[in-house]
Amino acid sequence: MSPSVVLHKMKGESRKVRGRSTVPHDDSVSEDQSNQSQRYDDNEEEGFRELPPEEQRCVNAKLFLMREGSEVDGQNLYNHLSTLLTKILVEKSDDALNKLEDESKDFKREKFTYKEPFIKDNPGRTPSEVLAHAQWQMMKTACGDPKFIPNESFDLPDEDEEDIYRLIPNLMKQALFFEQAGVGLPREEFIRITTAMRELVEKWPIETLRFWGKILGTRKNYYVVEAEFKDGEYESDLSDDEGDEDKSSNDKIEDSMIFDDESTTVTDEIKPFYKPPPRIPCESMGTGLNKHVYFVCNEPGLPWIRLPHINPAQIVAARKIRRFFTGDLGEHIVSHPPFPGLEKNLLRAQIARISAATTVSPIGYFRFDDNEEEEDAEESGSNGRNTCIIDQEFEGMPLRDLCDPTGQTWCHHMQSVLPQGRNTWFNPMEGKSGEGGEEDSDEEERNEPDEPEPEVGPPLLTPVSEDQPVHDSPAWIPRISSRLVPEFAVAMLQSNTWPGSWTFGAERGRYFTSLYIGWGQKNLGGAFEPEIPPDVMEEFPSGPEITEADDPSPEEESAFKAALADKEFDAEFGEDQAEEETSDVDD
Amino acid sequence: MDSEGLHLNIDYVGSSGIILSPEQKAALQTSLVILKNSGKFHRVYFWGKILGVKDDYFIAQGVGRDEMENRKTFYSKDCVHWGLLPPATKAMREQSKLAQGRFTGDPSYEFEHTEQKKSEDGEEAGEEETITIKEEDRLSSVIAEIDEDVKIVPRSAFIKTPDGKINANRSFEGLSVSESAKLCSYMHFRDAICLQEKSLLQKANLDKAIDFMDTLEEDIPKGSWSLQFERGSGLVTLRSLLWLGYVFYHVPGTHMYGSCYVGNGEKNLDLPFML
Repeated sequence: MSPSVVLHKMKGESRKVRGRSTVPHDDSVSEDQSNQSQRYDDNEEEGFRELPPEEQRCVNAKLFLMREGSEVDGQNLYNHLSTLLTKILVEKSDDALNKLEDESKDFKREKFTYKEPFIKDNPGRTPSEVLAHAQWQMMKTACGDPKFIPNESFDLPDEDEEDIYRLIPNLMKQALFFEQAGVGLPREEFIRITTAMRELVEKWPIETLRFWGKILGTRKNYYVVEAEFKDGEYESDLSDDEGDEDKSSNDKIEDSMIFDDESTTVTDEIKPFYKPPPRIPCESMGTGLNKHVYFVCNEPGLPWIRLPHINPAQIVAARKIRRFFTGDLGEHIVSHPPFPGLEKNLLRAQIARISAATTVSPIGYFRFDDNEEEEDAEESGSNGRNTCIIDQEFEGMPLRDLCDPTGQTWCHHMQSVLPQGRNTWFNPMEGKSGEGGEEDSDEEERNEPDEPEPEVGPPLLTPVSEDQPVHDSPAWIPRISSRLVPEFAVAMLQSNTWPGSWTFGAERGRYFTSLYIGWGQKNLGGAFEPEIPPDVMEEFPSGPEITEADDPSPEEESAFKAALADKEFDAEFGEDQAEEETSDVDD
Repeated sequence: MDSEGLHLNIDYVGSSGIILSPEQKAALQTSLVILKNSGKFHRVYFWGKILGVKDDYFIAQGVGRDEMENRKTFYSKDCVHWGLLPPATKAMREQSKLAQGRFTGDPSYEFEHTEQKKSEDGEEAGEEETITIKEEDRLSSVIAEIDEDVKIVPRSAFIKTPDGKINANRSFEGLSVSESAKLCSYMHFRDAICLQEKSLLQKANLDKAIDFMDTLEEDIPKGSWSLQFERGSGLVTLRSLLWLGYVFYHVPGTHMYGSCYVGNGEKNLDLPFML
């Protein structure tokens, strides 16, 4: 308010100082001002009255100046000019005209207020921050509170104490050996994986743990860890029992639809003889292919997800399709033949196949248990031994033997997967006879051909040189890791059937492990051939009742009738003739 | 991948399983410097590794100022001694496609491919023609094919001067995070094939100095590249699904990028089934 007050005072001065105009444009107005202001004083109490034209112009001018500027910050031209003129008259400098624009600009700048609020939105976390936080959290829990007192000794874990963290394998030692051969992941990743595995041992009743490897996918990758649960802990595993039940109910629905559908115009004697192939049950948890439990995560630091158990149908289907993994466990697999499951099932199936085919050890490290009881030996009789134990008296073998190019010094210590999809043979006939099931089951059994022969895989602990070669190249490629320092090198075994699977053997074969880094695809040797759709099903057995015959044409019909009439005529005539003949003979 | 700083940059492709042992790094650091001097190259790139049965081949490429022409390829089995590979001609490349199976590791090995030649009347008794393919030739052809099919660079990393020369862009600052998530920011480092077929309307928006190569968006089949962000958004990795084992990395916001191939040297012809 002060500028306008000053102006008012100045107006007062102008009354005395004639010729000095405060309103810039009209001199005639200023002369009359003194008279009119007096008149105002007189008539203030009267309220609104019409203004004479000069006053009108004056008031209009002032109102125009007082109009709010385009910026809504209380700036108007009137105030700005009054401030400016006040400053000039107070300073009374000689240079006022030159500095006029600058001072005007300064005033404007001072008046400028920042419109936006000072409280800004927090920008969302970038993906690196999210990941970094997850990993930092993981590392924080692992290393505990920081200790600032330098001389205090750290709480080193007692060597004899039972520490669940001892189950985590010494990945750094493995990383060192793998790196010597030019294989594997950068060492920092191994550290992150080790730290992430702590979460697993804390949550699950694990007996052994191994870093299985990394499977690359198109959108995300999988880090896979293999674990064995303690005995008796497998039952607490819920996994996908629901999935299995759904599948079995689906099968039942299909069967009933074929047999009980009344809308088909099939007579009772003729029934289609389609029988779905017998469902082979998966191995019970803790045995065979389901002995190991696998956990995956997309990045170390993110939570681990347990993969479901494997069932034979999935393995059989996985053999027939060839697919990249996308990185999402719940992704649907659209393929031919249709894969019974989601991506997590396919992942589990591929992991099972890779493990069964590429878990190797130096010959002599494992041996069969001689103390096995006879009953056990009989049960596993036709398949060979199922289990092997570590040979405590293994002396190791020199590096030259381990790198033997024929591969005779390494052997498989995990059972291979039979064509049926399991480790142990399951006889579908035994399963059938047990079922009370549908009425037709008895009939079908009679028509069944001979019992299928049990499938036998190669026995455990066979050397890898016996593996089927891929095209012209051998199945396994042993190599020595270093050329410059062969004295201290390690032996590397590279798989050709599953490219990406590496095993090293060090310390005379006493320390070895395998790792898989790849896309999860088998080396087929040639091009992939998708399965051809099966033949079109014959619905009914062909027989005289249902074979179509053409309707006879009119000529055929009349010929047939004529022949029939002839026959009848002949039959009658033939009798008379016969009588006549016999009578003739008598005469 | 540039040979200078190789031992640091190889970490960027480590997440795809590509690492070099300390011994190999040491040998490469010295031998690539010698290679650069003896060949008078402007730059030497460590191209990658082709795995064979008995031995692996390490491949390096030396280039002059113009990076698309005058590329010389060298191979080595122990990272110490390098040998020059013959440049791949069209005929050589056609023949090499007939050789099947993995590389053996012996450069003088000869692959044999027998073809039944039917006589023109369609008689069954045909002549057997055996074509031998030397492993060196096959190696050279495979490398040329990989370079043509999948070698990529970020957009605006190279500039075409008005006289047709292709130079590295010195003021390349890298792609932003959002740009590096798009496939159209990466281009094939080869003479453009699809570019000429584009309509004038599409070409109007392109900058002739930068957009003189095909982008990845036109690759068939769609989805033959896997683009992933590692370390959150700190590193972008592109893996080719056509040639399994080719990895390209780029750190968004910086000028660091490079690529490497470690694999069998076999094209993934089953790709359409696998997507």
